[in-house]
Parts: sequence; C-alpha cells; structure tokens
Amino acid sequence: MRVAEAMTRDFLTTRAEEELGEVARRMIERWVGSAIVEADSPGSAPGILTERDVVEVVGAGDDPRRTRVADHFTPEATSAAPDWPLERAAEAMDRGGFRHLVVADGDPVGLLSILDIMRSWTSERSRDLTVQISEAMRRDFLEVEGTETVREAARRMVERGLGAAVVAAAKPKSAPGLVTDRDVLEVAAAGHDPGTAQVADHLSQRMTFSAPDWSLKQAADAMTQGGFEHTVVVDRNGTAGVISISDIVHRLLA
Amino acid sequence: MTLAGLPTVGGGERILAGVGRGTLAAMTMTALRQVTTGLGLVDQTPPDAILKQRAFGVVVRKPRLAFFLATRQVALVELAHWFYGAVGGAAFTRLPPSMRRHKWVGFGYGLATWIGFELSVAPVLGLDQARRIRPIERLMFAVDHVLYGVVLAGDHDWAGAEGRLPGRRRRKRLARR
Repeated sequence: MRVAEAMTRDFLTTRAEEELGEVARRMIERWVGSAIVEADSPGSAPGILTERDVVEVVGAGDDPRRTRVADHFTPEATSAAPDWPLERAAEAMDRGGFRHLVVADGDPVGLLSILDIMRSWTSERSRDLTVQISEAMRRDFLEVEGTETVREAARRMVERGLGAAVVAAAKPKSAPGLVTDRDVLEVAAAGHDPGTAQVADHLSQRMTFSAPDWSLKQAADAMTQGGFEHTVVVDRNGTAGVISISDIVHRLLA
Repeated sequence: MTLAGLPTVGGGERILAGVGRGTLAAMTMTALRQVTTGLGLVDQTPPDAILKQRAFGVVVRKPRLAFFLATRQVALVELAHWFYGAVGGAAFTRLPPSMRRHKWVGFGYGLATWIGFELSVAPVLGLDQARRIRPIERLMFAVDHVLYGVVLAGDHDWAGAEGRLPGRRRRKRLARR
C-alpha cells in the first residue's frame, strides 16, 4: 500500500505566530496529534507541530497560552512522498522516533500518522501480528502517582522519551490508569494549570488492557479502532508493561 | 451389559450425564496438558489459542472487562476448556446407541474432535495452530483428545439407551421400591 492511500488529507494547518494553547485546542477539537505549520516563504518545506511538542512545553513549566508555535515546532519537517510504500514511511518514523510525517508533493497534501499505518497493516499484515504482546512490549515503563501534577508527569515523560505513563492504581488489585501525550494536550487545550492539575483527574478515557500472551493483532485492533496509541499490559501480579503502536510497528519492521 | 428391571436413562438425564462426564474428561485432558506444556512439547493449547488470539479481541475495547480477563485468564481459559468438554460430552449422547456402545467409540470420538479443531476451527479463526504448529504438538493434541474421548466414553454403557442411571441415584430409586 502507498502513503497516499493511508494518509489523512483533511489535515490541520497553523502558522508559526499562533498561540500554542489555541492550536492545542484545535488539535483536540479535530482529535489529531499534529498540525502542519505553513512555510515561511514560498518554496521552503513546511514544519510540523505535534502533541509531543506541547508536552515538552508543559513539562518545562511554560504556559502554552503565552507561547507561540514558532518557538516549539519542527521547521522543515521530514516528509514523505505520496507514492512511497508504507514500509518506507514506517521506517522513517521508526528511525527518527516520531509518529507523524508530512506528506508533500511540492506542497503538503496530507499527514500520515503511525496510527494510519497500523490501520492498514492490521489487515494487510495480520499474519505477522499473531506473535505475543510480550515480544514487543516495553517492560521499563514509567509509573506515576495519581496525586502528581500533570506538569511533573509531562516532565518525566519527556525525560524518558515516552508518550505515556502508567498511573498507579489507588487500591491493590484494582486497574491502573494511563496518562498520555494526548491527555497533557487536553489539559493545555482546556486552559487548566498543569502545575496544579492532578494526573488522577486527567486519565485517558480511550485506553484498554491486554495480557502479555495475547496476540499483537488484538492490541493493534483495539488501538486502531479506539483511536489511541497505548495499551497497558497486565497479568496476575499487576502491570507488566506498556505496548504502543510504535512498538508494534518497530516489531513488524524488525 | 444391561440389567433387566433397572430404570433406564431418559434423554435429558443422559445429556446431563454427558455434560458431567465431558467436564471430567476435559479435566483429565487438562492434567495431561500440564505435563506436555511443562515438558515444552506444546506451546499453546487450543482453548488458549482461541481465547488469546481471537475471542478476547471482542472485549478488549471494554477496559474494565479487558482488565478482568487479563488478570484472571488462567482460570477463565480452564473454565472455557471444561465448557468445550461439557458440550462435547452432551454431543456424545446424541450419537446413535449402537455407535456409543462400540468399544472404540472413545478413541474415535476423541480423534474426531481433534480433527474437527484442526480442519475447521483453527483455519476459520486464523489461529497459529493452523500454520505454525510443530509435528510433536500436533501429536500431543491428538493424544490428549483421544484421552478425552476414552474418559468420556468410559465403559461405553452409561450413555446407552438401555444404560443405567449413575450409581447413587440408582440406589436411591431402588431403595424407594
């Protein structure tokens, strides 16, 4: 399958001088994880602003409402051509450690997220997805307390280069929570103060659980259909790890 | 093998007895699987494969249910296996009486359930068992299904149309006469 068949054509655009909090609000409104930042001058490559950039701002203690896109976006972002095979785009994301690619054919024509790739691969490569989650999951996950502030959680996520943290269960044997880049983005978009907002009040509503010996296909199906990128892996002893769409794509490319 | 004058087993009771024997036979099969998986001869048993590769996918989008299943799956997989066994036991009682009384019926029934899984359930559900199974695993599955059939059929008299009720109930009925 080609990039053009999997990408989102109805993408969000912004300008470098816009306020970051406002762009975060529009990203949440459209339920997207990135926006294309229009190029400064004709002929130059566009930039990209992702939810990860917003998390970095929050983690650093800056106020997104008093920050401009210009200070935090990635100028001249890595881009893919519409006729690239999906494997090539996935390799570029895996190598660069990012989850969104601008698709350009001269001008930007779309945005491709790692979730878009996985949506195509859940049926196309279902045979490769029969391996167990334990073979691809991350065991060195980050765990935060529900009483921590969103800012502190964001800082620790950025420090570890992770897109999500497991939130310790309030009671033994009960289900843990999850806080992701998207939840931090929601806090920024809503204008809450991340320095006082507690993680427990901003847990992911779109998430699920799996066991280590379930198949990657089950996790991939749940995430692509639910529109989220992380699943908490649990067993009888508690949290065993976290599996993300990026982990699954990395496994498929290996 | 029948005794004149003893009460015969009705259809409903026979099916119930089949469910009971099927469950017991599945438990026996489980015990053998503990050995074969422990020895590394089998990686993933069929009930494991169905639940972990397919069935859980239906509920995995419900977080609370997914958490419950993921943390208690050992017991759930076992219960599912017993359930299959019970259904197989009930189905056994629907075989023609002459077939049920045949001395090789247990062997044949066990083998037939294994072949049924290999040829229909596994490929239809797209399970690993249909593609990547090792010959030794295939052999072990055949053996444990045969054990299931043999335990289920037992003395191949209990489920016969002229068979007797299970011992305790038979004694109670006779005592009332």
